[in-house]
Amino acid sequence: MASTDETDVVVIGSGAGGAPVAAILAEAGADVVVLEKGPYYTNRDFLHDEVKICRRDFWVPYISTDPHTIRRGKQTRATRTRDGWTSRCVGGATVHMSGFFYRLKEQDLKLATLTGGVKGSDIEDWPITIEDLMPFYDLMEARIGVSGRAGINPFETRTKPFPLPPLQPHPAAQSLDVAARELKFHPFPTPRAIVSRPYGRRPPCNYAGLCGDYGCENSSKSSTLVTFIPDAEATGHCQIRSNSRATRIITNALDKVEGVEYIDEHDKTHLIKARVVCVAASAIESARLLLLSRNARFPNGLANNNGLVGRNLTFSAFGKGTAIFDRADLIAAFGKENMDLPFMLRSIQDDYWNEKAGFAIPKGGTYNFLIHHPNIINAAIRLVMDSKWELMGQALKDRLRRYFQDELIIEFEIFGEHLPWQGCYTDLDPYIKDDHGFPAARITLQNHPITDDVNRAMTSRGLEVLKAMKPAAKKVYPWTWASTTMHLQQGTCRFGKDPDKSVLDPSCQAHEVKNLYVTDGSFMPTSGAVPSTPTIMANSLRVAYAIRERFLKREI
Amino acid sequence: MGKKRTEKKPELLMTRRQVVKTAVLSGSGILLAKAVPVAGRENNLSLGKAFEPDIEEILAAAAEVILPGAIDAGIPAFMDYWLTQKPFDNTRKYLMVGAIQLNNVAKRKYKRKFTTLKHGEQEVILRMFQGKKIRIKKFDGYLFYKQLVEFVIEGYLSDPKYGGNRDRVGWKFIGIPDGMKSRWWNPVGVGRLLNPDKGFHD
Repeated sequence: MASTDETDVVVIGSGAGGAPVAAILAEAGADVVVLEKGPYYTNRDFLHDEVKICRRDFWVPYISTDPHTIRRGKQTRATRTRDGWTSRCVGGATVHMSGFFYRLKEQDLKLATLTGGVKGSDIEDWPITIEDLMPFYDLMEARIGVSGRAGINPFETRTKPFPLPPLQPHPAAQSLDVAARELKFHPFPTPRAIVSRPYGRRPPCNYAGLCGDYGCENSSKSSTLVTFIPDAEATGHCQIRSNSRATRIITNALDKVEGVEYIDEHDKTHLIKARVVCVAASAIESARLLLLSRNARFPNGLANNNGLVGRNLTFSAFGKGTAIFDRADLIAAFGKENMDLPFMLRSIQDDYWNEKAGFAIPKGGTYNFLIHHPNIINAAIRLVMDSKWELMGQALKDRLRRYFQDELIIEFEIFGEHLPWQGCYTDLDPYIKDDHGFPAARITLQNHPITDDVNRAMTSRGLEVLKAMKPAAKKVYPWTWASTTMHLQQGTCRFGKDPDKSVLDPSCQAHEVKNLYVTDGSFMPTSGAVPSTPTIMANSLRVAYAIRERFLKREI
Repeated sequence: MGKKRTEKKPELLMTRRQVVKTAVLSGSGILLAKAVPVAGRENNLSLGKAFEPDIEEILAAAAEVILPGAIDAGIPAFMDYWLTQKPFDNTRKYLMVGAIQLNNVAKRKYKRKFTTLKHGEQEVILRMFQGKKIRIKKFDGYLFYKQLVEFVIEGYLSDPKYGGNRDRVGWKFIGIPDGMKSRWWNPVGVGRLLNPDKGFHD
């Protein structure tokens, strides 16, 4: 052991789940150490270099050093993949998120009751209500800065205005609004974790449009790297240890946490003792850490005597439709001036809970309309992929030029309910290890058939909206009918009141291990049909205030 | 990240022995021959750290068919930059085997080396890989083709600092002369506070 030290609270992971806990507890005077596996980037690192930032190991490790493994069914052997990684850097995946910040709805928290159960799915109601989360959504939005406009989406979950007005959309959003309303939908401005006006010391968005997959060099994206992390550090009570990879959580004979073992960037192992340990390393990596921390009292993995750690893994169901517009048509209709604005900023939630849509279950999801991401290499490779790799030679070059000169792509993505069931879980890979010799997280992924059914139905409804836009698109086609967004992940340590049916109690403390909290997406028994990031942040604040209460009362 | 440990063998990795075996079995002497400087080798080809010169020439010729102007755009240098890095060892070996197979198929079909074929003939060979017609033991010609195309497109449109997209030739061709930087300097956004209410219609 290279060294041993001691603190009040150790937080493992510095993203949406970890950073809010670190900030709230440090502000309350607790000494907090954050262990972050990845590097501590600053704005100077966030170049507009597509190869380095989006196509290498800037966010996610290479599969040769630190892989996940994936298989499509229990019978097959898993192969190495980068899927299911979110990020490893200070700020976690909030640094390179797009920041679509919708809240969950009342129905999300009682899906089992409302549907009367779904055959083959292990859905459970949440042990808390949307009212328990509401104040923390408000607090989260105010602390980090979220832009949007209240009162337009009839299905929204909020009573207060957004802290910031919405960003400026691309002019084609007008056409989308008209088309969607003709089809009886209710389009609304997509809430974004991007500041549209100066917010604190952060400048407003510069509309460079490189949000998803990039870090914001302008500090306008409300990642934890520019919000909760600096807040925590400013207290003088919080230390961020980057390049520090937690490998084991230690518990004592009374099943109380004692500390965390981690490896630093020089491959030295350290022990840090703590009274509270909060795990927030992403649903898959948190489950892996608990499974790796098995000991005599927990032979199947920490807090896993009921075998539920890693089970009930959910992602976000995904579908996507694409419309190719002639840039000239759009310029003729809307003028040239704002044609390069990067945001569409329109969403539709009419099918979020829709008994009349005829879906297999009434729970649909969110349509999120976008201008195609400005990445040029990704766009070019996508053109080749769309041609089944047939484009070659001069035809390829001509197609590239036509795409970048003459076309504009508007598309929608679906965030859909990803039903938990026995076909989707994570465990330790029996064969493949990372470069330190620890078994990799193995993902077994099959979508529940109803998840795919609903997504196909939603994708075809979304295509109708694109087809109704004027001026008309040259081509409208489904890019994928039913797929999975694997960087949105939940469920592996679901919370609940019954210790036999859940890993965490309603305050996200492990039923079986005292003072062990899990605050990333792991706690969510159902995925919801929006990106889970804002909910993880809000819940993390909820848990942080509960720990704070215990800390101030000297219960910890 | 910067770990000095020796790596476990990743799955796709062929040992040198396997590569040599594959090469011998498929009747190619390329890997066994010593690296001889090739006459008329252009400056545009990289220093040959990732590949033996013969292999590199095959890949460069294939890149040129996939995307005319690839060699002038510095794509071989781009590939060399990345493929000499350790995490790309697998990919490097796969591309090497792929180059050998391109040559083998060329010899079978036209009785000549891939690099000496006419442009149209080279395209015919590449189309066989692209059309999933080549699968030899563990080698999947379609996968090789896709990997090669990704490198070619990356090299054509990446930041020029990695050796590809020389003189921004790729960016100029597609009409975005500054590539990603054009978004950085996007006159719509920078330094101008927009009216966020504009454009929204109730």
